[in-house]
Amino acid sequence: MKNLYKILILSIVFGLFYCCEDDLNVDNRNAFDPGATWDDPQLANAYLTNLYADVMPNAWPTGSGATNAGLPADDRTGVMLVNTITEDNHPWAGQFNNQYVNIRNANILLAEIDAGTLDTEVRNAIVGQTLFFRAWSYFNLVRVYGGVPLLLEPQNIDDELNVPRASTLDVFNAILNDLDEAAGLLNGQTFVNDDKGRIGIASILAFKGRVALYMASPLFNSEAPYTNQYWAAALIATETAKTSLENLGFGLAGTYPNVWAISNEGHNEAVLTVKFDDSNRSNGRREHGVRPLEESSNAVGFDVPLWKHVESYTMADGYAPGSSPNYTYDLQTYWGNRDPRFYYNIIFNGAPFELSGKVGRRQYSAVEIEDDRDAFHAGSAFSANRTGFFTAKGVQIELGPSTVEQNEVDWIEIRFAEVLLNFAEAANEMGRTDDALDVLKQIRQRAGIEPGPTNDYGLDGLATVEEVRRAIQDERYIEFLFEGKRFWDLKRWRRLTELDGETETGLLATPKAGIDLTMVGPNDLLPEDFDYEVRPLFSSQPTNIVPDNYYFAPIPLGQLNRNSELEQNVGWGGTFDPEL
Amino acid sequence: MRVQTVGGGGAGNFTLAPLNENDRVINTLGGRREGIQEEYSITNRYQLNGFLKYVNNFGEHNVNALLGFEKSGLNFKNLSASREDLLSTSIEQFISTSTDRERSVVNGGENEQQRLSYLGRLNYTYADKYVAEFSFRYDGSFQFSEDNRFGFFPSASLAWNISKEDFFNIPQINTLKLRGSFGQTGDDGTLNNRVAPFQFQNNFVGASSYLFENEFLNGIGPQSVVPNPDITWETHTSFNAGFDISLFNNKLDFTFDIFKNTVKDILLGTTVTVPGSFGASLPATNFGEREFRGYEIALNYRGSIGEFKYAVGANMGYAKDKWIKFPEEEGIFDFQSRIGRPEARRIGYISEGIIRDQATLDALPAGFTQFGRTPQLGEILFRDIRSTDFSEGADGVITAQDVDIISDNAVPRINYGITTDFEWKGITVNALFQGVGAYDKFVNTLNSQNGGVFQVAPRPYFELWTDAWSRENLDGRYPAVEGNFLGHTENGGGVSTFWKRNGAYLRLKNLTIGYNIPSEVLKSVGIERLNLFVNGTNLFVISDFDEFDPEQERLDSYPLFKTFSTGINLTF
Repeated sequence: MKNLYKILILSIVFGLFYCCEDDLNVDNRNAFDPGATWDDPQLANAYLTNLYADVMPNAWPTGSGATNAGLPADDRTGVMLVNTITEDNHPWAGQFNNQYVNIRNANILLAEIDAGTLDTEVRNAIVGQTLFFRAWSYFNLVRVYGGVPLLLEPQNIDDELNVPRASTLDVFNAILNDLDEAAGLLNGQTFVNDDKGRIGIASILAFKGRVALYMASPLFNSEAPYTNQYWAAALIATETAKTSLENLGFGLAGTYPNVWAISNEGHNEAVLTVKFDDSNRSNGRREHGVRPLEESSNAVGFDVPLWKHVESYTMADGYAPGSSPNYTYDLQTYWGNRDPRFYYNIIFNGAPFELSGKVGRRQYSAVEIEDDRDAFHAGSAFSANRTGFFTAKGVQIELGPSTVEQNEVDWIEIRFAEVLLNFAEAANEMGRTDDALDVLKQIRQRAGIEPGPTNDYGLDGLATVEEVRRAIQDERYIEFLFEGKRFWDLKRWRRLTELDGETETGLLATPKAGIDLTMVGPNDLLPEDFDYEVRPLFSSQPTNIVPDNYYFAPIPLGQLNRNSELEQNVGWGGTFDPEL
Repeated sequence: MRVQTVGGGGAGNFTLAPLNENDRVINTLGGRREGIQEEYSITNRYQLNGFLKYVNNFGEHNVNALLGFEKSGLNFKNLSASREDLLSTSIEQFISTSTDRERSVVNGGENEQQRLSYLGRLNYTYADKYVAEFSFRYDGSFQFSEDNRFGFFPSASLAWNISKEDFFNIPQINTLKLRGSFGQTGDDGTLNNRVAPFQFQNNFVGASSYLFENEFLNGIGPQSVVPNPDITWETHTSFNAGFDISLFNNKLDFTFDIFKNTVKDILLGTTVTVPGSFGASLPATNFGEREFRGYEIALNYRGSIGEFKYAVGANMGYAKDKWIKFPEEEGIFDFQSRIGRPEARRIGYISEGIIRDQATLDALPAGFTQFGRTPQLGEILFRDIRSTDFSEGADGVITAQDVDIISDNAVPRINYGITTDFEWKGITVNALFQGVGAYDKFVNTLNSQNGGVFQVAPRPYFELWTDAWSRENLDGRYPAVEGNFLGHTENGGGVSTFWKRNGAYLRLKNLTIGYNIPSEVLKSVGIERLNLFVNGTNLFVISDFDEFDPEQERLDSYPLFKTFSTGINLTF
């Protein structure tokens, strides 16, 4: 009996602990359970939030480090030196991996979300936005490389990971499919109030227009740049975007500077916005590097207007400098009677620039007056140059030098002005010249250009498709200055090679003889008190070197080494045709 | 725990190069404000052990058995809070901090660990002659998935006490015992957080945040590394054989052990790269394998001559490791491989000594450069052993390719100690000598921890530069001092045999001299025992290494201290 009790007690004691093997199933309290994520609208949306943060541009496309910046070309200082793009390295080499991380993360959501119990409405909104991000990521790849491996499911480690490149057409079709599906799921969804900044139907349609325009553009159709089959689809997509957005209340918002005015944020021109505020996500503008250093801190030299930017603006009546019937043009009075956008995008020597709340402040670039950190300065290194100009675009002039990094101006990734100009481009190629001109007039009217006696805004001389095409291209240049479009546009039009051999110039201002600098107040001198001379920006005068094969970047060597199935592009030692 | 940061300032980052150095801090808002941070953490641990023991003798058969379990776990929570902007930096309390919410940060976290083991042991002894033991552990850890959670780790040992046998009849030998063992243990990598938990499962973790209209929302996303569901225990296996012997009435003891330990399934990152289109990286796997071999000897002798008693002991161990398996990229060069080599290796340049005269310079091949720079008098000359792509053979220039393995013994392989105890009429002397051998020590600094003397701007210079080569000091022991201390390898900044030394040393680690006052004297004043002593540590060291103490970590780290103490022990 005694032994029996012993055995009984022992069995109970050991039995107790045997049962506790389940205790080893510990919750990971530093992570979220992927399974539970798709049952909980807040967790599922948090997953989506991460996609927003990773996929959307992280700043204005300025300076170094901005994920949406192109190469130094027209829009950014610096020239493209030899070997700016090589198989070993180029500006988008690192993004190859990054885009696929985003694509994988989107694919995981798309593959797993239906295992959860989310309401259809919630589910559809999340899936719609995610499809947009997948399309966005593939678009970032296809416009750099042409066709890339097309993965629409998250891969497992046991899958065949050496995936060959899909044709450029297949990638474009996948992008368009995703956008169509997203448009279906988010039909009528405009996201208001606290959801502003989300991808709604307007963003999807506008982006689809952008994609369709790329597809038709010369970049992908060098054999038939303006006669290829994709222009018809581009017209449909861009016109649908224009009409649908107009019906949703989108339009051109007030005056040109108002587009970036803090007081006006959330206006009806902002189709797709990346929000910034002064605490959690500030200084998307990177304003500290845009301002003159005298009124800033820590950086200088981002978004510096070049002399060719100054030249590209029309006179106030819409005619090019020198061919205006109303206004004469001369280098010594170059600032007089220009397109009103000029006065916002370009701050020139002697122009009012009331930074840090300094009433009556003027910006100077003459070395005799301005601190040599900000004065015109031709240097040997790119970073040490000052062109004689600054820009006011997106600058919150009321901020002080020490709070400049609290800039909270939003980045508008898609403006309605782009939707209009995309349509104009397609309409012009499809023979609807009047519609195209009508868009240009709308843009110029809003810009404040004088309509002229015939309400032509200086566009009356245009007759041929080619002339209107060029006018649209020029309009995009000045309308979107410092908005990260120029490099991609030049590439899209296959005009990048026009930059070959070009160097950069700035403007040297010298106080006129007879002005006694000791007798004038700090803001007394006006632009006309100076003599001007166009000067090279780099003492060594390097020029752009833009070979033909820069239209498509090579697949980075590191990626080729990891994937035996990857073919290199034509022009880079491979056989893959990145065109359509 | 309480951490405080009081103070501020700090230059901001200049994204583009300033026009001149003085621009660097213009208009810079200090990166940090003064503030207070406090952090609290609580760890609750528990351990439940249950053992069932069985002990019995059947005549000369002795059985000792044990069965048991161990269950343990812990729960860790922490909370930290900080607030900036002190009303007054003299009051380091939260009461003095800003109530602006933007100046407050609160953070916290929690994690849990659980382990469960079953274990057993069976020990059998026969007449103190034969000892056999078998034991096992069956360990489970929360670190691994249910399928790979438990590991079985057996051990066995045998011992034969020959001196107890009837046939053994050598009077000089008091004890002779042969031993052999095999044992396994498991390591789940929790110690030192070497292996992060939950690698076996898919986790969504806190990721990037994004600003919508008025809300800054947190994001979550998959980890960048895909899970490894197969992750499991690292297994340590040891084989050991040895003997104990006592001679001459137990005056002399001698012990010898030889061992071989292997660690299998070491969790290591992979070098296999996946195509970028995969969009994630591969996890660490249980791949590595490492082996340690060595032996240990201990010798003790006790004796007396009249009233003089003495005991002398010596012990020595030798151990060396090598990697058997290590994830290495294909196509690496032999000297870059770990396989078959110990972890503590040094790869560096082979020094040909200081270029002391023009004749040496003139003898160099035309166009000879070291790291793209023309050699100068007073610099270290390196041996040109490779040309491009690490192919063997000189190519007339010293580049990063001219490195080779310059030591396999960057940690001491031999450790030894000697103890001596003497007593004579109440006077005691105890000394401990300690030393290492088979050790390549490199003269090193904080900036060049694997070897080399590299100094950045703040002065004064290291003292050894007083013997640097110069035109006035042609026999200088060290390379010429470079004006701006750029850390060039040829000026001493990099790992090379120039800085390789024999790190062996013998040190008098501890010496105590004492005197016990005779008790007859003490009894009369009511004291039972009185002992006076003086003690010194690190009294001297004998070594070829003379740049600094051979036990000192670096040229610019704290030296070893000599200490002296004296005292009285008094017992009533």
